Amino acid sequence: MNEQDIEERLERLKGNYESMEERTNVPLIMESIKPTPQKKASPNKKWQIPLLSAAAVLLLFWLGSSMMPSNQDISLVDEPQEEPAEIVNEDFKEFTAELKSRYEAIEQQQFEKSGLTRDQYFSLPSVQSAKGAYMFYMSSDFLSAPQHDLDAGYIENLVMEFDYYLKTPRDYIEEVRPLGDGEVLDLYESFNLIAMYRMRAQEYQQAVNDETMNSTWISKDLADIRKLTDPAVHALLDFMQIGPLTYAGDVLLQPEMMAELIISLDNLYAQQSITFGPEKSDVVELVYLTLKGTMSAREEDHLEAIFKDGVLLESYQEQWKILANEESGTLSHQMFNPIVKEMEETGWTQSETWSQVDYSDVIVALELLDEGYYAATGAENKVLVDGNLQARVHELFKTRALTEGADKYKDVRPEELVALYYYYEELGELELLYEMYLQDETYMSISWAEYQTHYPHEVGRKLDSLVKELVFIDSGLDVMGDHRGVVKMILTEEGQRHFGHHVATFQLIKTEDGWKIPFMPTQ
Amino acid sequence: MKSELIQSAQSGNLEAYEKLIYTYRGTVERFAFQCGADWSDIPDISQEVFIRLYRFLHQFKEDRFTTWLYKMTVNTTRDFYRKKQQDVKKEEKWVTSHSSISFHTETLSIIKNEEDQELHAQIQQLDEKYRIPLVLFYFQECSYNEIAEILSINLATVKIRIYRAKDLLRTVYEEEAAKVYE
Repeated sequence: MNEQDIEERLERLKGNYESMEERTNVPLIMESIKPTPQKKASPNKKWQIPLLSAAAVLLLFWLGSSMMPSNQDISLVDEPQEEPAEIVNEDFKEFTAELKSRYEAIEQQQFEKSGLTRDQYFSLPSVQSAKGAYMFYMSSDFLSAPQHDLDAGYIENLVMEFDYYLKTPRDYIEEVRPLGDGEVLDLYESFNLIAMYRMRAQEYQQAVNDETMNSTWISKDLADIRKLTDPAVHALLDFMQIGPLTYAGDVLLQPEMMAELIISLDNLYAQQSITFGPEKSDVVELVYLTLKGTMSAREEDHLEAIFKDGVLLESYQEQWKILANEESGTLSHQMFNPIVKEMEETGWTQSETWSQVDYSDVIVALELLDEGYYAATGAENKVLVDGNLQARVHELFKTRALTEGADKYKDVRPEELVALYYYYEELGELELLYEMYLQDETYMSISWAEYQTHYPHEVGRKLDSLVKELVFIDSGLDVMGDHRGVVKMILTEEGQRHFGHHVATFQLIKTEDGWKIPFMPTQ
Repeated sequence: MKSELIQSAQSGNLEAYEKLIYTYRGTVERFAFQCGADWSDIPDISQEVFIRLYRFLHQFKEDRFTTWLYKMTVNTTRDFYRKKQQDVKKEEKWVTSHSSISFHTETLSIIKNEEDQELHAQIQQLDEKYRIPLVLFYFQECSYNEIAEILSINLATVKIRIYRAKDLLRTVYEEEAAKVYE
């Protein structure tokens, strides 16, 4: 049995594994980790860690506080029914006593600052997480693990973890570094402050059943954040104050407000130092609602929402025109300009582009915006994966394949280089593929022998089955002085299943011999 | 999409975490099974991985998420069998790995072809130090660097162990083929 036989058998076995039925009970996991309302612990319930398996202890943390002691009842170490074998050691006693004292002090202090009732406070997911972490560190499971050196430094690390969980929304504002007169945080700091505040404030709102961001405390906090932050991020504050965009499927905002927000956010995310955070899905929703008037994916619902007698509502016409008239390097222009042109040609009755655009397209557009694509290129570098590209790539194969020299693809455009790479893989031309890699000792490399035997290739796979469009973004020089670029691959449905997202990224490095491909396991 | 889910889940969004589980559950299940877990234990192991994952999610950097997921799956699977004290055979299977193993029929029935079943069983008989690098490289498509990071061993050791694993498989295969001819 030779090397190739083994490789083939392993490959075939891999195929068997791929077809395994997925059996993880996701609802059960979610049920386990979701915080449940606090109930007072039974007075007879004592901790018996030594009698519980580690898995059960872990599960216990997440099964909610009906099984957990209340804040005052934590008595893992002080009142165990049976002394846990693992914490007989004096060092552990000292550690657990210190940790208990520190945790309880932080928790009490933060509870008092929170302004919430006891039930509300202890229902916060972040507080539950802090408690789960604390109880884990107090458990025999953790204490018996040999890799931990439980010294004062370690306790400080754990206290930092508790601090992280137990911060109130207001803490994020109060922890802002001292600023001079008229000084504000830089763009990146401003964005982070809002992102962190938003995350925690939403938890608090849910605890008090407040769906809007109009509570007195939030209004005051947002006003304070506004004073501390770069005006470029204020669009996010406006966005937060609006609250839910829909109610029972109906849009709650006027088109003017939605368009205004899109323009502000468009400018914000085009900034190089700003990248989407958890608010991205809300932004996608905003753009989709502005386009379709409803979150429904069905065209008849879109027509019902924003058309009257077959004509687009005037309020939407006006806002779409405003968005289309934004500068060419903006998402607003790129997305709305072709639609407005087609609509105007038909008396605002139809647009093929508008009909075709779906929720995935909005996600892709926002990802490209996040990459700075529109601002950098004005969307001129989009190459369709079609017969035309395939013909050009085949021509490259015919004329360059047998050429000698590292600079044989020097004049080839990045999108074509990526398409050629996939073409060589399709043909099984491993040697030609290998030649395309960057040969630079500061980058990861692989020998030709290893490449042939160990590196997976999907011979026969066609680029157009995975990718609809290729978009090149020149990233310029990085901190190491290397000239980088990326080709964003906008994926077909099959490609989305294969890669697990809507857009895949292909990294490139520019050398004096043209664009080269850094060796990475994923490309 | 995955990085957004991770970021969102890190910020406490349970809906994002649920999607993250749906995205990665296949990876965790397959990897645990390839590492030697019984088919019937896979839901329990996977459940424990994702509960642990949630607890520690905030500590992990997005760019190392899968590395960490593999590490956690290995540890959870190992712990799972350690804790099944009553099932000594499984403990031996996971920890020492060279006893003769009788797989549950259900486990092998997941793999359709008889030759593939044999290979799966032979891989499980490899010592853990050879088995896991082999599984990560061939079935999970991890690079040598990623394997080194997951298993906290150096790059040269990864290459040697994968080479040795294949060598051991070849030996087992040839021995069994010789038995057939005898």
